[in-house]
Amino acid sequence: MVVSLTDKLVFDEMLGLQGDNPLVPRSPYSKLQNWLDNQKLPQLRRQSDRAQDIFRSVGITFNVYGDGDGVERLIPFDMVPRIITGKEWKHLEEGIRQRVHSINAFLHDVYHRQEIIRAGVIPHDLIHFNDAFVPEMMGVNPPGNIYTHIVGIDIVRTGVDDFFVLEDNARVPSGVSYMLENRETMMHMFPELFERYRVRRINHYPQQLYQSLCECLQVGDNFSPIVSLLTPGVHNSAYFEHAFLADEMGAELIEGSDLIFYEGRVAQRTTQGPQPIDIIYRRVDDDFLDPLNFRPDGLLGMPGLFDAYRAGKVMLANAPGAGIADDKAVYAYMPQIIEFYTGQKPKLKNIQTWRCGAPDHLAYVLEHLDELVVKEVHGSGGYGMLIGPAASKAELARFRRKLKARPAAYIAQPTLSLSTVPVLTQSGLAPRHVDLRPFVLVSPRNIRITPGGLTRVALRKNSLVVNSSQGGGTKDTWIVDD
Amino acid sequence: MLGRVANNLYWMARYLERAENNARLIETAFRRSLSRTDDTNDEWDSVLSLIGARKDYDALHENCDQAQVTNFLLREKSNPASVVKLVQQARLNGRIVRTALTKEAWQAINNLWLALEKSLKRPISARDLPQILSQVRQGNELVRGALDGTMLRNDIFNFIQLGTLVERGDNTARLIYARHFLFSPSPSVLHQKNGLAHWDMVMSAIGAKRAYNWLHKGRMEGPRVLNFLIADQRMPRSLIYCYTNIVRQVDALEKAYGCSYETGRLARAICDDFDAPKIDELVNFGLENFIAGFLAANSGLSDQLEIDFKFNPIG
Repeated sequence: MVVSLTDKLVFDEMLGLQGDNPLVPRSPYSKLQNWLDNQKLPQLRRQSDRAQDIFRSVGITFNVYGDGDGVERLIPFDMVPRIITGKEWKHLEEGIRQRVHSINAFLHDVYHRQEIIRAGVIPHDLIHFNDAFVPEMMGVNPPGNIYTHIVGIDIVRTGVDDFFVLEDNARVPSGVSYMLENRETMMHMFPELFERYRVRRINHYPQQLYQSLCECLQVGDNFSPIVSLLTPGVHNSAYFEHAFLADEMGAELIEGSDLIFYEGRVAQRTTQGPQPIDIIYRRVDDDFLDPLNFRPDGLLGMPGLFDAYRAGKVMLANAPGAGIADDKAVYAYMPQIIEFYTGQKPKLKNIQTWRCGAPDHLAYVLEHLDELVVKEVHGSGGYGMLIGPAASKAELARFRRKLKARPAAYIAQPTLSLSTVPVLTQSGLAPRHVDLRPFVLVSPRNIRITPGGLTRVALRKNSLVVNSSQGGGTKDTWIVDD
Repeated sequence: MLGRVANNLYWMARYLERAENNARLIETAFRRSLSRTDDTNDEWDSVLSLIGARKDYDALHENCDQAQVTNFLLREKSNPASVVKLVQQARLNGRIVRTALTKEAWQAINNLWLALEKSLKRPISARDLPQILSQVRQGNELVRGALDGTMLRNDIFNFIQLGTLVERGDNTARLIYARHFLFSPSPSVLHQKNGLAHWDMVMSAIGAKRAYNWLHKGRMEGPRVLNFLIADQRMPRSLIYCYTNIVRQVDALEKAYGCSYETGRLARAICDDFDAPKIDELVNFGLENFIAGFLAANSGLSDQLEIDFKFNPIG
């Protein structure tokens, strides 16, 4: 089966640019192309349908908000793996390590002496007038001095050596369960491919997560802390992932109603009475953690939980307030932030970003709106964004009004021609745009980066939106050693 | 284990057992309605009362017509006792405690739900009924098999078993209660005539027809029937079987947790109430009170379980 590229200017990770010889795949993909040549489309389609059945039966589903109750959807899984070489990965790894290190240093600084503001590297208002800034965290020292125990760095590619960080996820990044289940599924369906490629393993992620969290307490290896995963509940869109991770790392899956105070500590209500907890890996947003300290109607945690945290009675991962580091307005300053804390140039590039809050930036954005992607500073999941080149006149006009009304709430970026990887469609292989979210675990001892990550793919032709809430799918991602 | 987890495990098992019991009851009533000689719709009427869905049904329909009742009992979303709602609820309970179940057990429950959701999408005709009812039964058998074959025998397993057994005891007792008039000191002529058919229905509603025949060669007599349903340890749906095993599960919990519970005392007291000579007397007198007493004690045990093992946040 052969992929036919439609857009000459887009880099396809399997075939390169079309100007190159389109029938010769790039070297990491040559063994895959060989294998694909010997497959028949109907058979692959059947295999692919079977994979979806497995997902449904195992319950790997997500709930879509505003879709009526109890609607569970599958995230479409595409069977063509995405292949990244060990050499390419090394470059990404170094860049990610540097970035994650800087993010933690930045958070510590922002919540202590704020040297970076004093030094005039970032403006005071960027932090203090930012909704993601949590003043309650000022002066708090989280265990092991770690703020973002789990980070997801979204990376896009536009050419052979051109990787950019699209976004940092420092609050509660999700998707890791799909990364793991995708690999399981691929090994189950196509074991022969794993004989041809030496793919770096990822299945130790849950154990590493547990270990990484425990290292933050710095209490010696003989003590096994009680770790619990706090979920908003069975109706949350990522519930499957919460249950999956709790299960795999041997943690209790708890909801706010399971928590009580017991002898001055945070405890979970068990059949035998209260059991104190050492670490809460919370998959609940800051706002909803503690109605006494944050949103009064936020009832997914427990009243007083943040006070217990501040008093060192329990560890929360990630730390409250970590969101200030992945805010889209702060993102624009990330190169300066990295340089400030490491003294080095960033190893991974940022995408050029216009902060519409700045009058000169706003003027540029309004003038070039039909070429740009505009995002809400606090938006996520691909909601509420404008893709200039694909937008209608009416949409452009609507966004122009929005931008003028609340300029600081938006940023704009150039429309990148994201790389493509082939997917299996009804009629054969076809290129679709992808991004990559590697997962990073941070402890005082280690920064662990799981080789690969979650590749999200826009399944609609020419679409650049890869979010699962917007019709995106996922792929297994391979780091292969040559 | 979290109290909330125990709560969900317990109710998951109760809802699954209830779905299976209701399916068997529908099947029995359906078969009886096919072989009836007059125009009455007695069996559907009594099924509705037995399940406790009379009021919900009357709110929707005026008369008891076979197609309407079976669809109401199988797939009506507004009926909390419909098979589809029960399985949906059990599956939700299971999903909430996904981490307490093995992959096999969870998949068996999830697959049962996926299959039923599909086959109960459209109204059910009489022709499809047997197949769908056996789907419910077989799905439950798979769940039981997966639990039995893959689950660790710990407190998780104990709470699941307790849910199954409490629900099962409730079901058998309700079936006896609905027929207690057959044992009244002066049964009316009509009842005597139909007595055999009534017991036949009860036996198939608990899936024990063959078992009874093995033991009693098909001789349907009051004392034998009652002893079989209440005090025969060999019969997996008799009250004494349920309670012997409830006591066993609570014993295991007490041992594992290293303390004794009020639940255990209640369970042992109920269990001691089933000795055979006493049951023989019930044939002549007091059956109605005895069963009503059991139903109350059984639900009291369930309440005590919730308190002892902290099923709910407050208390």
